[in-house]
Amino acid sequence: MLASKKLALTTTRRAVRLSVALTAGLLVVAGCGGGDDGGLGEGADPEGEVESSEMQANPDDAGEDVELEFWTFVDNHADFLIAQAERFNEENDEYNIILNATTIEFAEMHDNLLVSLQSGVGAPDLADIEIGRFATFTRGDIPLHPLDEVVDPYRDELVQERLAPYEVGGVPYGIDYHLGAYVMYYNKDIMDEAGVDVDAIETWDDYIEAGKQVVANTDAVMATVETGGPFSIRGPMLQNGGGVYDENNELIMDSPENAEAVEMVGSMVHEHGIATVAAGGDHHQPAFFESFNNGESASLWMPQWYMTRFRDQMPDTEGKILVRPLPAFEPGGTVSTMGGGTGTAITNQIDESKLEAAKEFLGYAKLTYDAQVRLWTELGFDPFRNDVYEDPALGDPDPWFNDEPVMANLQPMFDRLAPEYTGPRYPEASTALVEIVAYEVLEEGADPQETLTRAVEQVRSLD
Amino acid sequence: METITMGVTATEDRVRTPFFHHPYVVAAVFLLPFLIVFGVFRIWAVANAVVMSFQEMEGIGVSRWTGFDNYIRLLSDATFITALKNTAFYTAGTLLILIPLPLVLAAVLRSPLVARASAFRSTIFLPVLTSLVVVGVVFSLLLATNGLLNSFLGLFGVEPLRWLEARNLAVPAMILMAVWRWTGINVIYFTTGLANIPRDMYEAAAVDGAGAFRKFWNVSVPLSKPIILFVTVLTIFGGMQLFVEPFILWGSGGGPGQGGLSVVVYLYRTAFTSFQLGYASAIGVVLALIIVTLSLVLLKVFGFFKRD
Amino acid sequence: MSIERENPGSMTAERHDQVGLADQTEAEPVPRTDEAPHRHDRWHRVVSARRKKIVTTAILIVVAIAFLIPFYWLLISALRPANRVFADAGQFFPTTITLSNFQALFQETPILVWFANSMILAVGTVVGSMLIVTMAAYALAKLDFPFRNAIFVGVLASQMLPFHLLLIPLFILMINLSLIDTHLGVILPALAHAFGLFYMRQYILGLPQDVFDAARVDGASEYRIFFQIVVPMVKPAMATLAIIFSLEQWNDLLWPLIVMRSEDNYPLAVGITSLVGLYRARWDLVMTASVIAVVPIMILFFLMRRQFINGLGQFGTGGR
Repeated sequence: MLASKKLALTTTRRAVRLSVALTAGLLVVAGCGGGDDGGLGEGADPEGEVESSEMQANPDDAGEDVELEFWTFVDNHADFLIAQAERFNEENDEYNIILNATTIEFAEMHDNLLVSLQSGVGAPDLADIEIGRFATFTRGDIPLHPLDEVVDPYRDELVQERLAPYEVGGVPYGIDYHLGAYVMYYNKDIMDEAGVDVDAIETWDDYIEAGKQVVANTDAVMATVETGGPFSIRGPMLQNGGGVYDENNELIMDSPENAEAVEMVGSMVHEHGIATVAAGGDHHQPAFFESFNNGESASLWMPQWYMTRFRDQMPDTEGKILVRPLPAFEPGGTVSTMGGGTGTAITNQIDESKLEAAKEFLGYAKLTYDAQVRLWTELGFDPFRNDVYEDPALGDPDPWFNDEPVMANLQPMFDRLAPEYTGPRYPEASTALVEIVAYEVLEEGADPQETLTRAVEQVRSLD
Repeated sequence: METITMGVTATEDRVRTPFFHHPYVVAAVFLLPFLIVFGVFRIWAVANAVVMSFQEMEGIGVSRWTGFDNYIRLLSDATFITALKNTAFYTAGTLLILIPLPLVLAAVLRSPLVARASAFRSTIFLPVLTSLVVVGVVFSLLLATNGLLNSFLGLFGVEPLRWLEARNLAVPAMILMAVWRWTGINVIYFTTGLANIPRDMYEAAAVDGAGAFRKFWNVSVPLSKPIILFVTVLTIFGGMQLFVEPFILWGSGGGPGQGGLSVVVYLYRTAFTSFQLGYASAIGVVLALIIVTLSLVLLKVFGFFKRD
Repeated sequence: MSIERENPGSMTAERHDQVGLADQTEAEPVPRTDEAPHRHDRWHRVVSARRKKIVTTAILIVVAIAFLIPFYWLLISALRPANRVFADAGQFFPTTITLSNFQALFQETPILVWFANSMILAVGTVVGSMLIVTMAAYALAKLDFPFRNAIFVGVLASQMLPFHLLLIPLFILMINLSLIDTHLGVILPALAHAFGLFYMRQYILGLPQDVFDAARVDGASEYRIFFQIVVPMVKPAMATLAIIFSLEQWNDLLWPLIVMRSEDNYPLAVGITSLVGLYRARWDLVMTASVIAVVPIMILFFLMRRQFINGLGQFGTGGR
């Protein structure tokens, strides 16, 4: 008894030391956290890139205080909507919006939201839902509020194609942050070295010929394609009149147009040898950023919002990037389509008394002329309201992109923009498109039609 | 009374409230806090999941009984089969590396052949302390085709491998991560196991003229059987529940051409993308059955039940 | 039993301190009491033993470096200018180093609050689970009652279902209990730790039976035995569990992510993932925050290396 007690004593010290260390750490941290609180959330960052997610009610603003919970998976979206709420409060006398924004990691945010909406409790008032996940939320009883009232006043000015992905039976349930028009990004240095004039590229055939010149004259390949992401094949699929769903919510992924487009992309890799699989498998992998930054490939087609990646992750591309329309399948064909997107929705768990305020705010924040200009100036996204492209703010030459007014140059494409539709199994279809079609065709040289058929079968087997 | 050393209060308590000293009541008092928490947060949830596996549901509250339909559907689900294959391959790979390698390392580290063995053990233990979320992105850089790993392999004349882009290298890439992450802890387990082997066993072997290798093979390995068993079961557990690694290396979780798709990732997709909770539950139940069966077979083969 | 193995006095050599054991040699030992019939032969053997040692050590150093590279990479990535995190990924030795990412991290995120939350969750889980696990383990190890083994096996078996399956039922439960966005909501499901119970039960089974018998003969109640005999004797096992529980909670992502809703309640792991936006991931901040998440655990580890290693080793051997 005594012996064991003594024995225990010598070992107790360790347990004590552990708990002391933990508690001490806790106290220190709690102290810092508490004392420094003001400097954390609301810090005064000189560059104005502060992630302040809690808004304070400004006593100067008139109107009824309306507190709104907002979930997003992108910090900048939170910053943007909070800034918009502050402007709204200054201009609007009826309501005073206090937006409590929460940023959660992409997958987790969607999972949380789905579970909360399905179980009827715990959901926010406003939420960002990514286009690939949107259909998950519009099956059966839709737990989101229809947004006709918000959209209708602006409908005439908007690029219609951008509303479609968030509509069910013609009723909109989400409002995007951008158009997401597909463009071709060329590395000017490599193109010059190869002796290619990018403005002479009109069709995909021209592009492939130019690619051969690049491969022959430089160390780079013409393009990289995604086998772990949908963008490299989905853009051309849509452009060629295909896509995942048609306007009637029919799954058309195995259509001949799609097969032709996938075939064309596959030929760049296997037949012509001008394209390789992107390092890491998609255009968002660290390894890809590194390789493009180092000039290992000459071009890639991605949506407009990919522009920010050059600045953020590929610093040595400064001044070298040319933004151009996609090559067409035939002369005069469509030269762009849309890729990606995020719809802001109002959930059915919002308090009835706040609904009107939320709708008014959403329209103000996303669809007014000024809001759409700010989508470019504050977020770097392409607006989806036609009239703002004449705004001086969108006509500034951008030194990163060869001193060109990139945004103003975009607008002529909008007449030749292929639409995109979504449907009930869009998320699953997108996954199958990537894992079966993109991978097997681009990596392994499989038959496009066969893989598309198999992907469709897999999606159909879910129901 | 007979109590001298333990003081009087205990005996008084006993006289006053014999109820609390009834053996079953005592057991209940000790056991209930755990069982209540466990029952509420585990059993209840597990039972829920099992019930759901016999239902078809898209959304909560909307459900109908479908008997074994979900299980029957699983049998012909090509994606599930792929996921199961990947998961089995991964588990087998981790077993083949993460048992022998740490065992040999543990033995070498206990020999006088090594200076500063404990510093080494601590170093390879560091990955155990971190979560993959934290170091994951670093791995996608290291495993890149022009990354450090391939540069290293290049020294031995190995052509660059496309770890992150090729379907058949997806599982090996995840095994590499697992080796980095878990070698350290297994070395510690085996070191402790080896330390418990009586010294005279080695001396007896030495008398018989056994060299280092024979001592390892004839003494260390058989006498470490319980700990090898423990580590094996843990490895199967972890391997079959593979989840974070594919998400870290490939944003979609499926990996190139579904080469990284694991059973739990598929379960997760079914539950959270398709919201087919019933079907997802069936996947989970089947996975649990596989794990339990594997563990039981293993314990049986190793003769674990004979001891008790 | 493990307690006897503790050998605090032994400071003789580095390799002894791990598990407090004498070196049993698997490799051929260098003969000490040699009759030395051939001095040359003996000399040769000594040299070859030394050479072997150098070679083995060199190999192990290479292995150790390989294990450290991801950490090194994380650190230099955090020290690179924000937009060069990937651009310079090919440089093993960075040319430009800056602390600006750390500055940005402290300015743009409530990193210290996240850190404090991680601490609260870890300490809460450790304190709570230690108590209930030890009590239950004692009952399962030393008390006699119906269904004892069935309960034990049942607890272990239910641990084999993948956790993802329980997310939805648990989430609904948390809502009904109003525990969403609370620390308690994260801690409670982590308390009833089945492997912890298994380990503690094995440990208590290994305690000398005569101590209990003596106490019972003396008329001590089970409560008294528990608090005055068992608790002091299992303290090393508790230290082990404290390490395991806090590590698990510190690194856990999935459940805290589901429960914690407001940014000021995030633990570190959740906070870090919130920086990975789809359209604009702040990799510079992710790398920096990751360094901050790793460092305290490392410091704790180096302060208490022996407890970590002994404890986890015993965890693996089931407390024996």
